[in-house]
Amino acid sequence: MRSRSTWSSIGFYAVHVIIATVFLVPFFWTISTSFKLPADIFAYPLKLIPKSWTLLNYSTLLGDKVFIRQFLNSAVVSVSTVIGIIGVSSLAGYALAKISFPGKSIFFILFLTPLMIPFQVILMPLFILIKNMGLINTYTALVIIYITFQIPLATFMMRNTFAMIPSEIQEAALLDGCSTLGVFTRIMLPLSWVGIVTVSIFAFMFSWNEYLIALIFTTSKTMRTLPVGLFIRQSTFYGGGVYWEILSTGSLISCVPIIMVFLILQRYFIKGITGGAIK
Amino acid sequence: MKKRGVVASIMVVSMLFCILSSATLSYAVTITVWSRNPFAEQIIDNFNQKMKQEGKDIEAEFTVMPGQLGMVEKLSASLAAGVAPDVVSLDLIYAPFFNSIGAFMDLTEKCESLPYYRDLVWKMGELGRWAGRQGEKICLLPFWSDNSALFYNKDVFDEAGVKYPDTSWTWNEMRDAAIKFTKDLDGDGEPDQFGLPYAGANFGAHMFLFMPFVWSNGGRFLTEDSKAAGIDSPEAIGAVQFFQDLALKHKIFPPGVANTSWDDMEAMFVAEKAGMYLSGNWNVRRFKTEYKMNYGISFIPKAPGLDKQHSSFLGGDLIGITSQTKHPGAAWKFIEYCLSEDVQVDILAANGMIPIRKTLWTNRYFEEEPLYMWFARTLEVGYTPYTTKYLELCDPIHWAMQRTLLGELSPEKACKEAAQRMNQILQED
Amino acid sequence: MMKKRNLQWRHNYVGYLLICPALFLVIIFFLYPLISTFFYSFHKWAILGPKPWVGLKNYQRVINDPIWWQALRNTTFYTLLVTPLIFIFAFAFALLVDRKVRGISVFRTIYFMPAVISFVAATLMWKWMYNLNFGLFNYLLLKIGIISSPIGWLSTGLMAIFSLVIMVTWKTAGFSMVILLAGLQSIPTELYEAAKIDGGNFWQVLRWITLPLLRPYFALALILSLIGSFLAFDHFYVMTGGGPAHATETLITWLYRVGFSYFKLGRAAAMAFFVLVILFVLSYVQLRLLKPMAKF
Repeated sequence: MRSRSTWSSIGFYAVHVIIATVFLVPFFWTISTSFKLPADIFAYPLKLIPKSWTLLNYSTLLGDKVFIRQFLNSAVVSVSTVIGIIGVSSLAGYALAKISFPGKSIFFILFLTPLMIPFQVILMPLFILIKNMGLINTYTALVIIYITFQIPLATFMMRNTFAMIPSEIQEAALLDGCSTLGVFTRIMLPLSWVGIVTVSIFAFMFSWNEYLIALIFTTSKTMRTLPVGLFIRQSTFYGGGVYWEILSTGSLISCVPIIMVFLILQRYFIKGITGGAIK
Repeated sequence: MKKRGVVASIMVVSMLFCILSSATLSYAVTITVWSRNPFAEQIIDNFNQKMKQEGKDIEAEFTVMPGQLGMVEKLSASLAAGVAPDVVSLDLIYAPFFNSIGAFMDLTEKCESLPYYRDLVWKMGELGRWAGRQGEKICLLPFWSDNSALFYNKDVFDEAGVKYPDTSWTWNEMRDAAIKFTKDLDGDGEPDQFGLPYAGANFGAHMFLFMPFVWSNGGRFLTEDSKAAGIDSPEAIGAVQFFQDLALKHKIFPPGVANTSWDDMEAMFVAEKAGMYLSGNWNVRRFKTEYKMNYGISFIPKAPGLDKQHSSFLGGDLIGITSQTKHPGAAWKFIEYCLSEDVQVDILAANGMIPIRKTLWTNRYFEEEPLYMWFARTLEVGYTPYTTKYLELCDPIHWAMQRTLLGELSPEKACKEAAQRMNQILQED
Repeated sequence: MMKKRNLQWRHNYVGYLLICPALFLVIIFFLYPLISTFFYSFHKWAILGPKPWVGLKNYQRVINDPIWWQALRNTTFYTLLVTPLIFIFAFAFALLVDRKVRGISVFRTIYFMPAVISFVAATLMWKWMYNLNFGLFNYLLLKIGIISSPIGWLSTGLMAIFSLVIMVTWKTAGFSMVILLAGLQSIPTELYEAAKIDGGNFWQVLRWITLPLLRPYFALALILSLIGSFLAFDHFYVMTGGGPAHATETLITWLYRVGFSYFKLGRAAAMAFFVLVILFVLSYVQLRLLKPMAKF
């Protein structure tokens, strides 16, 4: 018995390791390039392991005040977006899942619509609107726009999460004399942890990596976010060229926060939270 | 409760950040400058210092723009919303369009009063002219120039025993040399070294690198009055035929030329797997500092024939004051500074851009690195198409070149079809 | 009777109240600009200066534009290829990582990691790896001896679309995986335990418990994936620029080019409306077929 389950778990891990290795090949390549000098990047035959390691690219980027500032900008905007979207989407998701009111499905479809329009299309009118509100080149503009564009996914997700929670719990609490709002904060929210975590991950990722909106709506170097700053840095300003060493290094550095966020948050993908609560 | 405290403090900190970051030292006049050239940063710093020294209360604020994917969209959006910057350094191919919508101020009188007015490279300046209702006016002035030329790898030439290119080189010499360079070095039956890499996937390449062949042969992109396509003339077709022969008959391009990106083209030359290639002045610096190649520069070969001239694509940036500016006087001061020797020589020429005042071409940087002088010379024979629909019109050319390089269409058919499409675009309002 | 109606009214009131923040944002920062765009699609939408009414001319131009139709074909073909592929991988991964074993978080992170890099950065790196002469893939394949001459990954429109499909699957499978994983996580363990007691095997459990309960999550992931593929922009623009000769032009790369490189904003607005209609129909069909709103 034991040997069979040992074999199956070895098999299980083996499958994962193989897939993971294949998946990581592009990353290995990027990591390798980030440690190379420009001349080595075009060396032929290709060397996965650089001839001479250099930390120059890292020190250039991390030592640059502007880069750090842009990193912080991205952090502020992303965190604010996550906080905002959790609030907005859990309220809306709960209403759509648990409360029946007329016109519900119309609102649901309305909330899904921002998904179907590529941002470029409303760029101009939105820009004029933001300018009229005096919000050009502010964190506020970016956060508001990011939250709005995360509404479809987040609301759908939270709606699903709340729908999974059996109505009996809600009814029981109401009978016990709990207010509707109380039901929401004391019971529903904690049970929807998985949904909140998922929404946070996606919202953070979206805001952190977003380029076009950040480019158009910020006008000064100090307010730019990381993707914009990185893109400008790594593009040679002539032709279609790329400074590969800057691109690889910058991409890796900007991956770190999201990976950390994911590692921390995905601990909450633990089965059976709902089940436990029912008991 | 604790959670709420954390959330609240995050919001407070974020708001503080917002407030702090929007606070700036205020000068009497601040002018905003946009450019895709990162060296403009230095120009701005020097300008601000100069203004301080002269006791003038003017400060310039610079925002670097991404080279692709961004600058033009931002400019359009800002103009539409009425928040355009004061000074813009704009790729000259966009100038006619932005002038047609009145985005830039009329600088005719101001620039005519410049002492070096005649010294400016007016070939570039043509792009900044606009024939408005009140007659012709100059809205954008030349700022710096980029043009195309032939780069060659001296080692490859030496090894094949070919004489270096010079001003007598025509297409024939280029073709013959390229054939000699295309060889199989490691014995696997496939050539590893090529005559010339070319970026067939990049529409800019067809304009910047290929059009000079058309022009040298007497062909045109658009007719003189810019109202119809010129690409269906026999001279233009002849140039396209030349390239198709290079690709299919002589096979001197690396495989997949129709889909080679600009990067790939550069990579081939940098990896020393090609004898020559076409590119622009920005590479002089790169090749010296980053790659250490033994190379030379010459004119893009002219078409064979007695009356044929050299040609080049005249690119670069023009600089102007937007019509939405609130500080035209200060903005003009900045432009004057940009055209001065301090900037043109000590910042631009020092970093491999071509000054736009002819007398400044003799400067110590060009003396140190004579290769730059080639670009000054190509500037003299260079040309830029003038049209408000530049990018749209490039598309049929791009299409025609790709189809011919792939061998799917004859140059004549491709050019005629391209001309038809171009005419359609021109006639659309 | 009165009490019940009051309760119902209060109930509705709370419902509307709760969706207010989302509604406010969507109406002001999305719907209003969208209606502006729609309005201007009937005009010659100049950046500066007057914007005269042109009626349906922009829409006509779109319909008569051969490149628009080619872009539509390209985008549809690409979507049909990439969506099933992403789902197979995403679902397989989700099942594989839906365990509480040691080290599973590492694997979850690895599968999710490609989604984490910005699209532009990832595309640039894959473009380099696909390079004919200097790319990693050809180098490895040649070295191992699987191929004898380099593969032109991006040489033709068809090859380019396949190469892009591979890259996008790598990049976005993790994203759909997380959605499906969230769904798997919310299935109560009691159901699985009950099934085990009843003697169900893997496939039966999958069919009768997992898949039905996963439906809403499936629907979400599918809608996101389909719409995302239809609106594909960044990777196409950066990888091939829509070439060669518009063979990899997608709806949005063309829209972007027409609107922002050719400055024909009115026409781009008309295009956007055709795209919106297509996506609306697609989403509606999906939601009807999958019925994710069904309560259980």
